[in-house]
Amino acid sequence: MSNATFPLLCAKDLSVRYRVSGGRGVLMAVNDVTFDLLRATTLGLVGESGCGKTTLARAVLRLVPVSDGQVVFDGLDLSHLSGSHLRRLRRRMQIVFQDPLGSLSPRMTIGDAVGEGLRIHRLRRGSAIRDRVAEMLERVGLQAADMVRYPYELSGGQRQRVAIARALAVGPELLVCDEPVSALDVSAQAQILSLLVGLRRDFGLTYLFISHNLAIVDSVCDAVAVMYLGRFVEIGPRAAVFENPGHPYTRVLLESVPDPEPRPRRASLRTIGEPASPSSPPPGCPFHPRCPFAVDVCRHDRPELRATSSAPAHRVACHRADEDLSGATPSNASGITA
Amino acid sequence: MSPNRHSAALAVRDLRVEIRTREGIVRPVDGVSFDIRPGRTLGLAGESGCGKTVSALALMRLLPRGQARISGGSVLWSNGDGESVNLATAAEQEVRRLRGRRLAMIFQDPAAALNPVFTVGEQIAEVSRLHLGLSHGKAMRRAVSLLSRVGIADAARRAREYPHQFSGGMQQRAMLAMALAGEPGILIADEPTTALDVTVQAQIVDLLRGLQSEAGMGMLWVTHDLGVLAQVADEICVMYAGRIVERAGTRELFANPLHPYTQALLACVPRLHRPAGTGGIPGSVPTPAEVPPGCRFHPRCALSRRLAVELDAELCVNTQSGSVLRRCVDEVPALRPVGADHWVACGEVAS
Amino acid sequence: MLQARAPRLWRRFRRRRLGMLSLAGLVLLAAVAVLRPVLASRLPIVCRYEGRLYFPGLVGVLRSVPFASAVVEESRPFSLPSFDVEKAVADSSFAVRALIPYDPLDYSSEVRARPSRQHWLGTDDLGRDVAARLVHGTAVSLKVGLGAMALAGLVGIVLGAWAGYAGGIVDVVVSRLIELVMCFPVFFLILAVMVWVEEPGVTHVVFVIGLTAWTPIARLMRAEMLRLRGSEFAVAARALGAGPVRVLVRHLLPNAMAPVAVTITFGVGHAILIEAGLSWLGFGVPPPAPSWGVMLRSAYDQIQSAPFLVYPPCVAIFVTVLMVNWLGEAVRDAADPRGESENLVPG
Repeated sequence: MSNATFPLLCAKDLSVRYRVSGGRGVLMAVNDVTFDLLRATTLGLVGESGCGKTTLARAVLRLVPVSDGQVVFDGLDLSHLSGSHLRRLRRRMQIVFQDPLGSLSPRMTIGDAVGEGLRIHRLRRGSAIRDRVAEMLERVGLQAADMVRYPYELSGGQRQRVAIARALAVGPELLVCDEPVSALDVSAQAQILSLLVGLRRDFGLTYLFISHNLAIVDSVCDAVAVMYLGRFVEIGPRAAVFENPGHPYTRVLLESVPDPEPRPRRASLRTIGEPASPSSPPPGCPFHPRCPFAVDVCRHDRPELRATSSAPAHRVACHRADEDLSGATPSNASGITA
Repeated sequence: MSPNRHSAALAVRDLRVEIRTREGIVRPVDGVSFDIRPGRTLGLAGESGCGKTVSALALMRLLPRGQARISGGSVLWSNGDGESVNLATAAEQEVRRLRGRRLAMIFQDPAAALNPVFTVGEQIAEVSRLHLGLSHGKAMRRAVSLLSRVGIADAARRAREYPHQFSGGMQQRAMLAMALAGEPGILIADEPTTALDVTVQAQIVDLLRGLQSEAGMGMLWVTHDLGVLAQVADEICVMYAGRIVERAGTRELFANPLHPYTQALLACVPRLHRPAGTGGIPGSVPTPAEVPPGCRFHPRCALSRRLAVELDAELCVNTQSGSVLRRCVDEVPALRPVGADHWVACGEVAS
Repeated sequence: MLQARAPRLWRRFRRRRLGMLSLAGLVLLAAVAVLRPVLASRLPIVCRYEGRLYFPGLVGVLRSVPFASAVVEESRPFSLPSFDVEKAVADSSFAVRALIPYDPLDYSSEVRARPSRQHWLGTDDLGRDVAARLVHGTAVSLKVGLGAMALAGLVGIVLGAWAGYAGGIVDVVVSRLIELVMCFPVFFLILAVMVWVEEPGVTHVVFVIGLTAWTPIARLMRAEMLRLRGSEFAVAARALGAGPVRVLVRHLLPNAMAPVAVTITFGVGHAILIEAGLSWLGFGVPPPAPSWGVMLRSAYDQIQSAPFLVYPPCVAIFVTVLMVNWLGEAVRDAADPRGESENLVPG
């Protein structure tokens, strides 16, 4: 009981700052982010490139230093843990990267890569390493004989399977998936997604799942957080966010998903341009320059995350969250395209 | 502007490409035919390794020299005015005259396609100077107007910036401006939105659609994502292991996909409100060196396997990948019409 | 699986014909260096003298082996300087002489003799047999070339990798050190050091060259580390719980070694030539000990009167450097699991 409701991972007011090289100025990659991730659930993290989602993923694993706030893993504050303690803890939290070719060392065989965690943490010895590697490779849909091959000999989907096997070999509880299918073909995407869903069920894993495509997040997550310029602009249970998106940005993301149903071309919600640089975010609501519904107050005051009227767990950072905007005329002329 | 650019077309017939590798000669494109018509968009879909990019490069005669060559078929370019050139056999000089001017191409990775040491404006102007013979000043002014046409705000300032100062989406727009600088009648787009965020992807799709209807270009859109093609293509060719397995109008294809491969590929497209777990297509595309006999899809084909269970044992044959229909292994299915505007290369579906 | 790596490397290496050829050549050269007392010596390899069997040539070989000194005693009369070897050989009932029956230091009146049956490569200005000197010089040149670059490689790889991986103050200090050593006129630095050494020997030359030739290696290593440090597979290794040493040694170094290995092999030829320059000025290998460098320098002076003297050391240096380079390239290619790139167009 306590295990089920006790969050495995909490982030509290988490911020990651970078100094901009060669000058003054600070880049707020992650800004004041708070969330709880319950055991055996999946939180989807959505946003465009540059919104800070990869930095957040690395910060909760302490792969980049945390500037402010806390990361608590299973009751343990990671933010100021020393190197050797942290390394021991890494066995319990693993990551799968976007580009499997880049995240696998080109000079290491598949077997060496998957077995490395076992050696680092001395989880197995001698031939038991081999057995475990073979077991993991077979579990992710490869063959034990692939052990002697090199990453370049595999297809993109197979490489990503290797990366997943490497992460799972040490028996983690938390798996951070940083855009695990974005670099793959749609057919390989579907394979990897169903593999991840199966592994979550079989091993009782907890996922932090990052993607820029809401359709992918929709298929695997229990809760969804939408990130824009380093901040959460919406977070809530999946159904609430997808059925009843409170933030205009979420709506834009939803409408941008390529829909494989050819139909008469209809007007759809679009943003203009791309996000501002995180080193000089606009005043007020960070999304206002691209928002089709921005009004005066959006340009001056930054909205805080507030519970919506429909569900308390569903929180939105928008001044107009409680208005019904579905029929509203976008104030921004280029907001609607034909 | 030439008066007849609205009627340029490209007719590809039985195109074959050979690549020399250490293991011998392989054919990543093995008899492919399609038409790019003025003002229309043809989608070429398939997984990586199916030969779609090689086909696109072959049309532009951009295959790496010495390794790959067009070994058969024809690529007939014509401009509605009676002038036509077979790009498969034309002299290099002739092809160069057309490339960039009559036919342009944009790529998946704009960062790699733009030269980092020249400003974006200079690179776009270069194309106009080369193909339209404009002076430096005129070409630069034209570059600015092209940039604003592809939706870059503050184009005059942006033209003086370098590629690294552009975001991914803006680089793709800049490359598009460069492709449009020669006022081509035909645009070949190789995965132009794959590397982009969904929001930017949607913007680029809208932009290309708008530009096309405005300029009447014929377009070939190569991608692995049928979801994108649903929004841009008028007609779609699905390619597998170097051959076209199904060809139909976009609406027809999505409403009535017939080839088992098309069906499987369609099931892979991520959609909202549908749980994952279709599992994708088992296995992967065979490399050109090891294409299976008969129908090239048979080792992965769900239909063939299902029918093998239902039908008599004498119609079946056991292979490495399980029991499949004998005819799928023995016969090479030809692309046959199954309806108006719909062709399929599958023995079972067609009969 | 770690055990399996070395055979796999060897298997890929074996496929490279030039690499195998170079390896065989270098092994042969090393053998020449070790066996020089048997190959070129006034002393016979084996002889029976006054009823006893002596092995003066073999003793010469064994002398370089630490624990073989007991056998050395056995050939005592032959190793005495006053002993007349020619007479002894003439008197002995049985003698097997070396292939080149001359010592590298034996003077004779036959000065600058052209190559002949007696002197295969001729004699130099002091009447010494060039072939004998060439054989004996192999040891010195190999020691200097390989030893100095092994040392330089070690220093360069360690410092460069440390600077590139650690960054910060370490990087600043190492980078300045590299610049300092690079800007310094190395040759004169070496000269200055050699003056300080009371009895300069081959070991000193090795150290002095090794400790000055590491800068290009370190610079390259540092750049490779900067490139690889941020790579995703390094982050992946950290995420797996690997400590900094493991990340550096198991993940970054194997990927950085290829260009560095080639730089090191190029250094070998350079070191051999520096030794030549030093020896010529009298600060290298103490004369009259032969080295290819010494031979080349003295041949320069007589290029008008005896041009044939230039070729033997030139060819020896050229062939050695070429083989070391080929070997380096073959090792680099073998270390890359991709082998020759396939160059397939993506489709």
